Amino acid sequence: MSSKYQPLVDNLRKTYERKTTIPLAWRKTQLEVLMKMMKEREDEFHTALQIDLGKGFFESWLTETSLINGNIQYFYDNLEKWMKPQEVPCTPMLLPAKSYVIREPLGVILVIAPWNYPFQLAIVPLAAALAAGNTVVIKPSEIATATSKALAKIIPEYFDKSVVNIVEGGVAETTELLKCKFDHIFFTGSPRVGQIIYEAAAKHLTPVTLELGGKSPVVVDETADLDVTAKRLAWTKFMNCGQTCVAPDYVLCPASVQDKLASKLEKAIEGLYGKNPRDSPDFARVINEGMGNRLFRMVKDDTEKGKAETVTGGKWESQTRYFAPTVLKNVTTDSAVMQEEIFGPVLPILPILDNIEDAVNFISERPKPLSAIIFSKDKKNQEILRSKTSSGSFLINDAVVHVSNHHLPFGGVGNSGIGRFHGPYSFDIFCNLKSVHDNPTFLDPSLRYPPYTKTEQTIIKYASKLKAPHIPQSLVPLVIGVVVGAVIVGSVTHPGGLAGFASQLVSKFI
Amino acid sequence: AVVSTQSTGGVTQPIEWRITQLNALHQLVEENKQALFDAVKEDLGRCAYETNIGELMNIKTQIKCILSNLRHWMAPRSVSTPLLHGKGLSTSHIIPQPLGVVLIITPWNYPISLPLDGIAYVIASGNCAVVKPSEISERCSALLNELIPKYLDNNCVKVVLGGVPETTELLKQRWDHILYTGNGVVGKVILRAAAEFLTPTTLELGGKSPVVVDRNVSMGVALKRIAWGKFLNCGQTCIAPDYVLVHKDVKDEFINGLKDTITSFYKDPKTSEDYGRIVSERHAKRLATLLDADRDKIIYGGDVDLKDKYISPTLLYFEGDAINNSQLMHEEIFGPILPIISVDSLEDSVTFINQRPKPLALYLFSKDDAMTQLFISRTSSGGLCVNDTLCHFSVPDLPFGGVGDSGFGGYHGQTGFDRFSHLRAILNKTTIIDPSLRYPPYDYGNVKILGYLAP
Repeated sequence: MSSKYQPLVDNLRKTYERKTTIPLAWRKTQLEVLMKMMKEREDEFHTALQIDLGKGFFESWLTETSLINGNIQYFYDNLEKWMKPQEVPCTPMLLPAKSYVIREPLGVILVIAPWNYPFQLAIVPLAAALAAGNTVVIKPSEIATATSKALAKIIPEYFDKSVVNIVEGGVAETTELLKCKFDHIFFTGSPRVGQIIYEAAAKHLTPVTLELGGKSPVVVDETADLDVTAKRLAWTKFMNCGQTCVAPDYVLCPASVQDKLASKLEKAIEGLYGKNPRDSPDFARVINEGMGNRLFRMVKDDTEKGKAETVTGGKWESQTRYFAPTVLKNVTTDSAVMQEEIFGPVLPILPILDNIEDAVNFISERPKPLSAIIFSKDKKNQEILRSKTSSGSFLINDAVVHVSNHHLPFGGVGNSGIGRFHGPYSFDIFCNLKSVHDNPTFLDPSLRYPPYTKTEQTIIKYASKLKAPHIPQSLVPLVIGVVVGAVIVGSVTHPGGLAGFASQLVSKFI
Repeated sequence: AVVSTQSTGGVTQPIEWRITQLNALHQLVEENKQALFDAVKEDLGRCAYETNIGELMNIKTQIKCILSNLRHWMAPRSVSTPLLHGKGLSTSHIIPQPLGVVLIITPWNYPISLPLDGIAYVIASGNCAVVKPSEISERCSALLNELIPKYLDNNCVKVVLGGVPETTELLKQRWDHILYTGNGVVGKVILRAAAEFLTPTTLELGGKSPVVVDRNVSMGVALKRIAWGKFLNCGQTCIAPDYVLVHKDVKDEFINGLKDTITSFYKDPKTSEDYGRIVSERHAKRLATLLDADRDKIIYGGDVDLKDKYISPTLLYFEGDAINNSQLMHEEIFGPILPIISVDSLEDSVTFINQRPKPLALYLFSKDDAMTQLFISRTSSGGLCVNDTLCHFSVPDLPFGGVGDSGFGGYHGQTGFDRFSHLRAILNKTTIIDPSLRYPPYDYGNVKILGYLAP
């Protein structure tokens, strides 16, 4: 199946095949160019984000630009270390061979970015892929039109088409792109589209990283500090107008906590955005009319059918794409808002928690989410929820912010995704971890080769029984230290020094 | 019937359970050696010595590695928390969690170690397993079906026997991970089925693993190790040396030496106890057809006895571009047939290799360190051995897997443990401090401060 993008991909593959991308210097140069681009064109990207998502400068900086800059710098600082061979212990029976792992480029990477963090989720994978020595195609989201245009205009001014290429478009263009063979596909988006990408990748045996979504539950118990809870919950829910993959999706709490929590949430929202969030420069907008209509319909349906009660918000202005920060209480499990990932500024509270096991059962009955959150001071409850549920990430007394810690792997499990990103994980997914076994030739015991004599069979039989210890990596330095120490002590205490000690050992064992 | 972790009541989580299962697996191998040798002999005609060093010892090595490291691998991995999120007061960890139920589909060529190796790592990560061993290695699969329920927890590890229809049925279910070892054609089918449920997969496929013999080489050792790697299991190893690229300056020495080496190994391969057989008449026929197409290139061996599933160790020699017309270069050989191609330089071999799909393994025989490093950096493969063949498979701390058409996702060692785990990120945030500059209304003057606090 030929694709109109085949020449473009072939061109990128040629660069990889020429091995231009391998040296550290080349990769560092690409990252430096990216840093330059970020410094010089930051404003244009912020403007695009303002147009697409109504995001104010501060939030754009906090959730996009600063993360991009932080990641690029992190890759830059660690690249040389990551590129070094990683030694591993060799099986005692195969000594004195040397064993190590080398991280090498894969080839051509396809990055498909979503519309909610359209800048960050295009540039951070780009940076990681370049750091790992690959060439890249980025397909930005056609829904974040201004950001897509900005990327298509700005990136070619810094990168040659033989290194990074931007393909704009929607379903048709993506389908066409997927006919080509890539060496890895990095996709951020919905589980439904994730399946389509995965299937397309299967045709070429292409590995994928899928950063998907789901409904990230929040459990609030009686011990939670409700003031801190309300503030953190409100901010992490309503930033980017609720359009964050790891945003708190819904709240489970005891009936006794609901009203207090709801009223503190209302106050917290006012504290963040003022009496009229429409006028706050810090409150973003829904990406488009379609998404806003979807949210409005869900809320309307549920409140009219008695499946939810509005605490605050609910207003939708399609012309300005303003959707008020909305909190619902007494929400039922069969409500519309509980049937799909909300991905908007609507926070349902379900007052159905009698004990922590209820939360465990509720969450475990549903697809594994990208994030699970508990607001509680009770260490036992925290531990129960953590150990009995599964999710991409788990947060205690906060939400979302783990995304900015490079050292924590970011990703989903089950329906919420495949693969890990951020920090060193970003580098690894775009590499081939090549295992190398280097066996010197001076030692070559014949019992390895045919003909297999009876004597050799006996030797192997007993050799395999020998509890030749497999020294765990963590203990190797200790073992070496003990052996070296013993040799030093032996040599120092022996009247003949090292030579005398050595010859005594030899005469004893041979 | 599919195992579900709900039904096992979280039994697989504690380290005690995992250790018990791993020890039981070790016992299964120890206590049934003869039965295992006999089953492999019947299915593959492979001698006990090779089954011992090629399969049983490998499983034991992997289990030992897991047992020594399991506590450490399972432990929460602490990472640093940025200043902005309360470094020192908040904590950040990565905690490995089981995925759930893993489907393991294995081939016929290492019919004991591949299923048990997979089970070992899947159990180590606290999962349940369903194993579908190959229907082609009938006797071995039947033996595993008999032994596994005797040694391992029946609620958590199950064996399903069968062929394509049974596998198709299994693939209609939702799994938490699929480990498939086999060929690329079926690999794509597995992957498409996995896509339906967004199931992560590990594909251990194959390809043509090249051997490169440089002119600056320890010839004696090279000859033995190449012959050993090629003819072990009668060439039916996913990482077997598929073909040789030899420097023209040492080509004669190599070819003559290789003939002598093979003779020294087997004398008369047909009657040697140490030489194996092809798994089935159908596979033997495929190899015989390949040989017939290039009869004029055979320089050693070439004997075929289809009824006995016997193909003698066979060498072919190709000069110049002749190799490009040979069918031998268009499929993974997977048998005791070794094409030898003369090249003018190490550079030429790099070009030759890079024009073809990335292999599962690559072997370089050379004494020149600089050339070795260059070779390693300019080619790509799942694994690579310098001055040896096959052995990287049994170094437990080396991840074993492919790249490109040879597969993706490695396992063994900690990579294996992590592969079948979900590495969950945990942030425990302090409530003692809660800097207001994080929240709206945003004061743009705070950008600089945040820049210092944020990573």
